[in-house]
Amino acid sequence: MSRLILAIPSKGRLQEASLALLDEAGLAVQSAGGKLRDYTGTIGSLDGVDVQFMQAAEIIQALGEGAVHLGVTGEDLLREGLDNPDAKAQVLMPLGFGHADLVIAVPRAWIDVETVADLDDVCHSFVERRGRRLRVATKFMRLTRDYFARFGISDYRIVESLGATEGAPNAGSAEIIVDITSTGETLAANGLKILRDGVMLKSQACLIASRGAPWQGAATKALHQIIGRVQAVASAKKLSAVAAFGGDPAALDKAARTSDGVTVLAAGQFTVPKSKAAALAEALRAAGADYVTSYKIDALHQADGHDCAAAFLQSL
Amino acid sequence: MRLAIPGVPDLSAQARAGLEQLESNMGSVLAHAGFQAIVPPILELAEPFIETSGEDIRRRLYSFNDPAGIEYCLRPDLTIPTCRWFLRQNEHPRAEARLSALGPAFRHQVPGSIRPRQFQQMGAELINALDPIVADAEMLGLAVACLEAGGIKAAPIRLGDLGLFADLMRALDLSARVQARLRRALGMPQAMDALLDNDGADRPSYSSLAQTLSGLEPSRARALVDEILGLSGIQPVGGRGVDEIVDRLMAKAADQSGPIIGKTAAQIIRRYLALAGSLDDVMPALETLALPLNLDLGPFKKRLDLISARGISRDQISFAAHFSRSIDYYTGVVFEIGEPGDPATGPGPLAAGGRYDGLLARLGADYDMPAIGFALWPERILAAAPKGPQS
Repeated sequence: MSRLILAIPSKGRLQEASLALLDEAGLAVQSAGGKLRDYTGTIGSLDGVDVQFMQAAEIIQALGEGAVHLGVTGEDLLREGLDNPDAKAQVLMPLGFGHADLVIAVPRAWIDVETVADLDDVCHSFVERRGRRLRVATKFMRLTRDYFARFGISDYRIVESLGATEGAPNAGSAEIIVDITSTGETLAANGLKILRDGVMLKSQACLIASRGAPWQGAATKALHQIIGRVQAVASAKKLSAVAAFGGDPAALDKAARTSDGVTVLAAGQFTVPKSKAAALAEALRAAGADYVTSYKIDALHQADGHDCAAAFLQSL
Repeated sequence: MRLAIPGVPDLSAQARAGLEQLESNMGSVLAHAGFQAIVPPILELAEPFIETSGEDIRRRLYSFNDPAGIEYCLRPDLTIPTCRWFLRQNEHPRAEARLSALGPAFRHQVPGSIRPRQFQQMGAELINALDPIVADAEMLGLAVACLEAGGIKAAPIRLGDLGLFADLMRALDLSARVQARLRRALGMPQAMDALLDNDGADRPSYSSLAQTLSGLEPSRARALVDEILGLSGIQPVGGRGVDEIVDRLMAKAADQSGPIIGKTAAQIIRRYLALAGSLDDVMPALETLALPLNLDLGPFKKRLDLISARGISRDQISFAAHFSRSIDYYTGVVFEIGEPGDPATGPGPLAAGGRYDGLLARLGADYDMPAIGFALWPERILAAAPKGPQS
């Protein structure tokens, strides 16, 4: 069995965004029965790949056990869900969606608390005053413990939260929380504020490889193809292509090289971050180009691109 | 279905008999020293362990909710069950108590660890002893005597002293809040480094509000904060009252001039924490460090003398200033006997203990009770003893 197994979230926004990205990369997923609710699928354009739709927690477990080769899930879930995650899995690339911050939030009424150092102080005096520890409600027990230990906070205890964590301080089941937020609105609505240095992890959906999966034969070939195509689409997303016609190629080249973030593809052919495309066009015009076009690119395959597939396979 | 659980022993009657012989040999050392054997429960509430030992214990704890929703655990250690037994049973709580307990304890181990998940433990706790220094030396001596009864001779002893670190903090004349932070960081090297490295960067925030309040009468300050909270529509949430918030703002304001630790003090703390090695190596350096600070090493040296007087060679003992056991309730001397080994995978020490003066009050005693205890691990001792126990 050397087919590559790719795990994708079985529902929600993460599933939609994952499928859309694969689609753009020419890796459209066909579910087995042609319906979104199926548990398995294949990638029509690529031999040797099985797609499995799984819940987020299952994806993490499967990556940890080597039951799947690749998975799409949040880095926060990986770090929370696995003991010693770096030994079991590797983040190959961030995918640019599913952004969420894991934050420490305290009641807004605590106007004396703005930093983690403040919180350490408060934890300590909380025990002294009450003879019991300050309670932290969270679903992210492992990450909370590690982060608090790094700051030397020891006078607290975790209350495992099963439902809506942000309601815990209001309900009186905890004093503060550690939770995921994308906009901070839910926190504010519950009378909570984020500590200034209380962002524990900036997370997003990532393509993650399992170190324990059987990497051989068709699986390694499929890995190179998937990474190559996804990377090509991902790097193209931030860039515009710019082409200059007429003028002295050497002068154009020189003008382009002095602009920010420009890559010279060939004489008169460049890529540049989207926001800088107009400035580059102006510079090229000033250097003598007759015409300059700039246009969107769908994919950018690079010979000397960082080959994270090869690096990963080598590290096994 | 899996037949074997890693780290959970299957013993034959014969193997069990060997263990019992060892336990009885060690138990009679404790009985001779006046320790009353008690049998605290194996099933305990999870709360006392997490509240007093710290979050770190949770990843080692076999805990579960019963059908009524109460969180229980299999005891990970005998000290807290013994203390709770004492608080339930004792009619003369101020009198000295010597209690010993024996039985299974349970700890989760990381995958790959060779340490057991169910293991025998023998514990001795000395509560309300009049002279703590004498009690410290006696208990360390007893732990060594128990090991000798178990066939272990001259095992290395590793000493630490949280009390000495607290004394050093006091001698450095740091503010109470900073002293507390440094004490908490002992045993967390990363946090300690961060504190000492970025003296200023890691300090708590100082708001202009704190400055404004610092000039006011406490009652005026309270009224002002009440008003601010009212005006901004912030609901008081989360278990801390306005009084507490105002108190802290004012304490912060009082604290905010000058560096928090200061270069000199940070350097001394570093020098202290670097002290590690045989007593012959450490003592001169410790004296040099203590002298200009008027740090009194008297109790520390008296304890060492009393330990020597019990026939324990100084060569057996090493001291490490940064050494603290990974449990929050220790307040004074801490020790481990036997090769420490890799904490994740090695077999671990044969005996370990320390002073925990605040624990009984945290567990429900009406006042602080001085106490010190140690644990022995019969299975490790049996495996380490050159020949089996003698009857």
